Amino acid sequence: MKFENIYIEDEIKSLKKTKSILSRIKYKNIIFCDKYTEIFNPKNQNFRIQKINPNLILAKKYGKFILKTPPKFSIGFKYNYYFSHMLNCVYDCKYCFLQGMFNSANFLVFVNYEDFFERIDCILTKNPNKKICFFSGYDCDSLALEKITNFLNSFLTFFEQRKNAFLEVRTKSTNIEVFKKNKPINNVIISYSLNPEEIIQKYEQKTPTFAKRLESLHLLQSLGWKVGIRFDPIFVSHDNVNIYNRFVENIFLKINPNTLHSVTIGEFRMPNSFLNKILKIRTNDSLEFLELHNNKLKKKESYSLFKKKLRTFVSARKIYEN
Amino acid sequence: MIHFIVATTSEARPLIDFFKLKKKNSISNFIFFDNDEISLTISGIGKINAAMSVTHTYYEFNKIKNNVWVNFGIAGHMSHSIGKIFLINKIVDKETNYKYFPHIIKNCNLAQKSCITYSEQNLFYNDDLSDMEASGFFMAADKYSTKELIHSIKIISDNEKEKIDFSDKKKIYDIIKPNEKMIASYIENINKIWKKFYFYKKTIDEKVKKVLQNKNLSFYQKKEFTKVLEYYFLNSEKNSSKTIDFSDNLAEKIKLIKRNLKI
Repeated sequence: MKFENIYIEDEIKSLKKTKSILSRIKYKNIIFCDKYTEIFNPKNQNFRIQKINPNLILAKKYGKFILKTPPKFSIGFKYNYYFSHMLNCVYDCKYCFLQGMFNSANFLVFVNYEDFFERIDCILTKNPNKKICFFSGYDCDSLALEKITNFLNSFLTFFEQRKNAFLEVRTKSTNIEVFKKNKPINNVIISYSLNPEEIIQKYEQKTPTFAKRLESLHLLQSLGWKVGIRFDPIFVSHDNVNIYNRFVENIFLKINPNTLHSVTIGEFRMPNSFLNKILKIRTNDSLEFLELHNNKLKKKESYSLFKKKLRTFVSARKIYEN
Repeated sequence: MIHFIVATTSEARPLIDFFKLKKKNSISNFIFFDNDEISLTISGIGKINAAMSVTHTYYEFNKIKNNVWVNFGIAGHMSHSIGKIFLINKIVDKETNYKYFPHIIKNCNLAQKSCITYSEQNLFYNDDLSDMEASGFFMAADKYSTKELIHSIKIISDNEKEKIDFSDKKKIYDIIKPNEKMIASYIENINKIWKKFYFYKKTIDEKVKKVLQNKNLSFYQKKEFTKVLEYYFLNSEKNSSKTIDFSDNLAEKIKLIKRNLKI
């Protein structure tokens, strides 16, 4: 991956981790800053223009390392947290809430992984006999920039040694080298966001095709990794219910539902403040967004039909609606 | 539209000639040059002048948000040779220590450098460019445009070993002239982005303005109708749907659009 500019906080410019990331990327200029917020936070930035050539920001995170997930969000665990070693994503999904949440499309990577470890350990120490799930991939794709960040290389080793902590790696990326070179870890769940190819073409720009994602999922499952499937968001409707039916059938031609960890389903949802911002920067798609926002998919027959179809393959106890 | 902000006429002259700009009649205290696509304002030296000239330019050229803004001028550096051109990727205001980071576009053809803006001439050269306008320019332009369209381009006029005579207009012209094609090429690339992201907005704004002119509307009606009409014109351009005659019964037509577009 090639970047026009790399922004680095003065405080971390001499760190081994920073130098190691720099050694793995191509870039034209390094620009030093006091705090990443000087570049990432100012208003009056156009997310869509920056998305043409996002720059990379290397920074140190202070505070709010590990956050609780929304109450209903679960893949079967009672205690759920999420964390983000990176903000923003290499992909360009039209529906992505990040474009409503952040002012900048630059990739922001926090290099102080050891502070994340410390906070996770702190939660585990306070809850010694509880199974706790930590979600990665809320504010970025966990896997897509692995070659640059070495995030999973570090976090897999960490989680392997903590048996009551579970890590969910949520991704659309087919860059699975890190899993291929490691032995499966029982408390790591690799979850793929899937949609039919027609939907990927329409909404999920710059992402791997359905066939490639399914191939990676299949390979990981056959290697012994725990895998999950995330239909989130789905865009099933009266017009495309047959497409979704064929899509589900194709998935379970390759994926063994018995060893599948979990399946989640979610409709397109977004806080109003994010939606309003996206309507401004994605004006060409604004009507479509308004329609999706007002859709109330969960009340539609097509949604029920999709769930019914899914239940013909997957046990209901493994299906979670978010 | 592209707005150049340049401190002195000597620095502006090569651009005025290259872009074939004509002096504009204005009651403003600033001197403007323009053609259909480009304006150039002589700001005077210093960051306050630069900031004020941005504001005057904005009002002089119809208060259009999200145009391209470029600060152009000469600057000093410790060692770079006279005549070398740089695109500024970080601006530091020496007085306030406030920093600005312009977003550099893909495949930029210009070398990049950071620049410190001083309140008076700086003779202690360092590895940053030294100028007297960039921070004031950026701070003001940031009020009127998105950061990706605000840039500063500098040409080295002095270093530790040599400096040009700043009162020698011909010398200033001669160091800028060889760089004019590189400047034009960079501006063209920025303008492509503007066209892709903002040109349609300009045409839609004009259409909405035309529909709403001379209509007796309350503040909230105007706000709501503007939003609905923006959706309508965006959609009609995409689908080339049947055009609506807005000359009468505007409220009814707006209701119809809302129903059709399900908004």
